[in-house]
Amino acid sequence: MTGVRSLAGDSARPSPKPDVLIAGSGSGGAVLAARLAAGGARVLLLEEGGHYTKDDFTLREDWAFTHLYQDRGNRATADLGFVILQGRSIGGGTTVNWTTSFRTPDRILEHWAKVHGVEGLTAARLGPHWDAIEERLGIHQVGLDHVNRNNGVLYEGAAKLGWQREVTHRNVRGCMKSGYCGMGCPIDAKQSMMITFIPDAIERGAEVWANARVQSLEVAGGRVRRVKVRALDPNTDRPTGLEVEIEPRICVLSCGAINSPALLLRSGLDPNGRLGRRTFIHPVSSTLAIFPDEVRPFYGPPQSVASHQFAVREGRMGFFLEVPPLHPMLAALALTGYGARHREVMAQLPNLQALIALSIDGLLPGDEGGRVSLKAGGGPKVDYPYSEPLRDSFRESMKAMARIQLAAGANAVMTLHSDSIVIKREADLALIDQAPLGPGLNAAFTAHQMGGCAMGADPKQSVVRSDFRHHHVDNLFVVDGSVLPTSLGVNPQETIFGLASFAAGFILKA
Amino acid sequence: MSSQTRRGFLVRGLAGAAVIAAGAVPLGLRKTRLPAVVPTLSFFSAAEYAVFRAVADQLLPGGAGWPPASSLDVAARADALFALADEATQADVRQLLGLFDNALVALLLDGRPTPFTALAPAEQGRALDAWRTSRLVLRRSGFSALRNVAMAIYYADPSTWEGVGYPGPPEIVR
Repeated sequence: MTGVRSLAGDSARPSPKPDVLIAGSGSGGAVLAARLAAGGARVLLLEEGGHYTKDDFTLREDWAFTHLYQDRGNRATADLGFVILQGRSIGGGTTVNWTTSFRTPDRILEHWAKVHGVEGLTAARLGPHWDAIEERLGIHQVGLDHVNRNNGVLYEGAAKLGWQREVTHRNVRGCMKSGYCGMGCPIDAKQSMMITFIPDAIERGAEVWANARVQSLEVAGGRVRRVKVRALDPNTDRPTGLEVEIEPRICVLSCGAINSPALLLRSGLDPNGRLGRRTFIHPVSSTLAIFPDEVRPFYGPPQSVASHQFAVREGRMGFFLEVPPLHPMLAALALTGYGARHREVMAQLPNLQALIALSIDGLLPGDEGGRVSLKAGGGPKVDYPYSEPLRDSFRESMKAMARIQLAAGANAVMTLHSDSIVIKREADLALIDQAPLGPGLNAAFTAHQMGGCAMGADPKQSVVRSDFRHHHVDNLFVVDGSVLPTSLGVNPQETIFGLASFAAGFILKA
Repeated sequence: MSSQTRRGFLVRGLAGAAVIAAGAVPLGLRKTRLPAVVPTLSFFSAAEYAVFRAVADQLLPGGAGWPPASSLDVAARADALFALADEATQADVRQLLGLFDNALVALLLDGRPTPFTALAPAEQGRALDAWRTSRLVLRRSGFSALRNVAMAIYYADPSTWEGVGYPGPPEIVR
């Protein structure tokens, strides 16, 4: 794609006084940029990550994680209890997204209205936005030909147990089913922001710059006056020394959960102490099964099947089930332990099958999730505690996953406890209740980051209003996953696409 | 952000004033046993390199057709990775490696007055397990940090894929 420039490598400079500056080119910023540019606004879209296209994607985990993920693939909670997989490049998370696309469940939108005072976010109002986005991104329910053996275990196992399961919708056109979505699509089959809404925005006059980190906002008299932007060296991500200042009429943060609240904290904009609070991560537990036949979990589309059988558990934290790909590096990190025993399991990778359970955090009364604050040097620090409802969800989800894997014919199921439990029959499931859970006691992950700039009616409880505008800064909007007042119970990208398209209406009128 | 927060990752969690005092003692790293050859490093000191290398060889000992971590120089690649980390992370890593090989910390927590790098291999395994299974959360986290980096570097390397049974990425007609 032409038209994306690099602040580190270009002698020209971004326009100093755009109508709208958008920080972040992911699922929020890219859709918003296209919509605003189509509405006639002069848009400046800035991305701190690099600009990579299909020919750059080596399909190697070491290259992908260091170039396409936050903190060079090393983002984690402060106590390392959760590995945080979060995208970072032109296109943001959509460059590495596993393509699973769901609209926001009605029950979640209703919860936001009832509990958080969110106004106007209804399926009826968002529907036309989702219709248009699904059309643009080729989002459709795939056929069973997209279901590899890895995903087939969930499809078959859930059916045998009489549990809900479905084939998912994916944002792909001409998918070759290689299974490398998480390392960047090498054939542009995945309809990521990089090949869709970003070119749309550029075509309508938006300026897009990579390697351009929004460092801080200068606010006076209730308005963003100036935005400080640093050029980052594409090879090291260190500041090159070049700094530019932009004076936009409107400033929009689309840096994603974790980074948007961190930027506002760096800018000293936290009058009510709500920034970074209500950070939700769909905490991921997992079980690995060994099958008698080859699964080849490294090939074939990820997450082509989902089960929401346990999404609603009255008074308890719910969870939903999907299937990740297993390439060597990710498998090695997921498997606990080390030495000869770890290696013996790794040697069976072709016969391994993985399920993940994503716990639906933020819906129970009192569940505030985690918190983003600042580290020395200004980077985000993420804390996410294990609550009792989360431990319960992890235990019950591990049992559910093991049941599915055994029902589908697994020889044995391994938990990711630091001392892994091996489950061969129903009676073994009780062992899960006795195993401790917490940082360093079990492997856990997040690939969905939400909240931290929560939307809501009460400024003492939230950061932005229902029109995405900051409660206290008039020309500042936040349009990304950080505004979600709770987690979603489904993969978040399509929710964020829809919200961004919807938010464009407010910003064009501002 | 206060320096206490920055230093907090390990020191605060290694409960007990005695241990914190030990962390402040001019480091037991002076007794670190160095490997015969230390490559040019951009982040680690020679002693820190030696500690990481010894830990990585315990985590990934090789054998039966598998290369040991040291033959892929996992420690040198970790050095390159940490060289590009943010400064708070870099400070944590230095502190962690220092504590790992600090004889006084080892004496106080595990009852052995010997730096990790000076232990026999079997004893190194027991020392690693003491970190892995510690009741102190930040000691377990320290183990996870070293383990995850070493594992990621090792298994991303194509020379380990045959053992894993991973044929590698498909040929792409672009």
